[in-house]
Amino acid sequence: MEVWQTATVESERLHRWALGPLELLVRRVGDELHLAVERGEQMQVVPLEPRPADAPEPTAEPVDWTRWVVDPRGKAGDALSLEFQPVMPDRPVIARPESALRVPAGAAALFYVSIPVWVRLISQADRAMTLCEIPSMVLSNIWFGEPTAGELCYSLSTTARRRVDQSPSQPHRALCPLHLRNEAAEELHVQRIRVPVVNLTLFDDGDRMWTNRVDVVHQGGDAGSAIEVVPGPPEGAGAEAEAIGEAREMVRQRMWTRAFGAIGSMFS
Amino acid sequence: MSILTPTLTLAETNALRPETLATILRVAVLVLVGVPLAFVLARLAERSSRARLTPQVQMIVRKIVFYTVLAIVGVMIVYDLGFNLTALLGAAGIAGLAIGFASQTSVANIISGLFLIGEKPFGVGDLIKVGETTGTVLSIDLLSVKLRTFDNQFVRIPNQTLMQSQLNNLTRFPIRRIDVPLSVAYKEDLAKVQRVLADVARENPHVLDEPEPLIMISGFGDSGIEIFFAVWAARADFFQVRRTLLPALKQRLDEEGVEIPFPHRTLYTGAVTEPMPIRLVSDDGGAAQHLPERSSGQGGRTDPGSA
Repeated sequence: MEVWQTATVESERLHRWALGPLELLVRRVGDELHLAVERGEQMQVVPLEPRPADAPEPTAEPVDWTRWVVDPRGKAGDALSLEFQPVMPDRPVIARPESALRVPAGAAALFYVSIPVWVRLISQADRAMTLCEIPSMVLSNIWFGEPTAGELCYSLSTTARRRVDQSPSQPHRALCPLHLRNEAAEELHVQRIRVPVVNLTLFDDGDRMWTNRVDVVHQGGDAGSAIEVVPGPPEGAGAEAEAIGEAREMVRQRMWTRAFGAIGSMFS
Repeated sequence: MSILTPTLTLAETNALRPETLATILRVAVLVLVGVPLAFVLARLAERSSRARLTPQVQMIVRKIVFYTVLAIVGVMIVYDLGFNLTALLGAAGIAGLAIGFASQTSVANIISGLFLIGEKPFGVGDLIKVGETTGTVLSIDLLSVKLRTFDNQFVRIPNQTLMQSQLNNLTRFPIRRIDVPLSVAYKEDLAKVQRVLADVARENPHVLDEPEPLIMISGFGDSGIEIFFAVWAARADFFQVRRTLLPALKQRLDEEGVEIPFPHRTLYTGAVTEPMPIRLVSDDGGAAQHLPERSSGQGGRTDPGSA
């Protein structure tokens, strides 16, 4: 998608970039780069572009400008290159199915979870410098584990579709195929799934963003689940899907962890 | 030959005796080698235990090694100087007994400190509450624990006090619950109130989705229905949630027109105040009737029954 390309920020002009509900206002003032974040209800896809000179001024001036000194040694009037990179959230995501989801013993099923991506801004002045990372959608926090020990994650409510065509394409979300296999003797009641998004790579098939496929094998009881991140683009994306965002942490082997939690005993 | 000559000669002879010179040299070597050695060994012991032990225990290990080496060096010096160690140890034992009686409290604090370090109910940086005092642990020493309160006071608590008191470690676990007891008027729709509370919790990004916020009717009070509302937050977000949740809750309840009742008071005017005028309104909505005012100097309680 064009939004993920490197663009030029002209000096002293207000620019705009949008992805889904996230809108960024960017301007270059001297050797500084100014950035403001706005969030709306509208779904947009707008590569970085300067606001037209005759466009009306925004009715509400954003007050939360963040400033960076990006090129102290350069000339103030030079244009600045700004790269927009997609990246997965910086903490695991707990996907909670909206409706009850049960996988019988011995059964396996493929689900699709749509995860909002983050935007990483990199200025390309005399050297590449990562300025910040902004979530396209603010997810609330959730605790995964016991009250005495666990992990802070992001919470995501999901419909857990079974087919790709049932999952509407949204510009700010990446589709993550989750293959669940229940090797336990009892039925698996899926209330929440810990998706290791920090280990996922982002792909673009021209239509939408994808992540690697994640295989989860449930062993049963208090045993951990085996989680495997399958390298390469998933089947639904096609072999020609292009990698557009690296995983935050690479994983080379199968992980053993708790994928489904045990929240029943957490709280009375 | 002067009277000093034999003394000088004797002194000179003693000073130059090879055995004395050797003793002085040995003592000097012991001091010059032993004291730095004590430092070095203490440091090595501390570094080697860094991976396995807490900073407090490392400090104790370092001090034990240091003073042990110093004591050995001291004993060797005393032995070299020719003193009778048996007699010295005997005297030290008696002195130790006397010092022990005098320092019971300090010894109790030291022993309590060792137990605290071994039991680890808290560590440096934890927020603890001891009695009425709440503060951040600055250091855990052999005799006492030092805290810094929220208003930046320095508090020293003897270890023995900590061993004998109930202690709350507010930051031991990674998440904490924020309790907000409130009451609403009896006329309110409870389903609506619960919905409002759930919305307020959900709209705060630092409130955890799980464990889920707790909304529970806890009783029927004198003024209203008592509700127990509790949300969870990560330890780092605790104060942020506590600071933002209540104003958001109040604002939302006002917007929804939910009444938070409060007890009503009956006013009594005593002898020193002017009597309050009372207007009686008849049940059939007839004309109001003012009670006649009493003459001055007869201020007091107005008795409606006498109207």
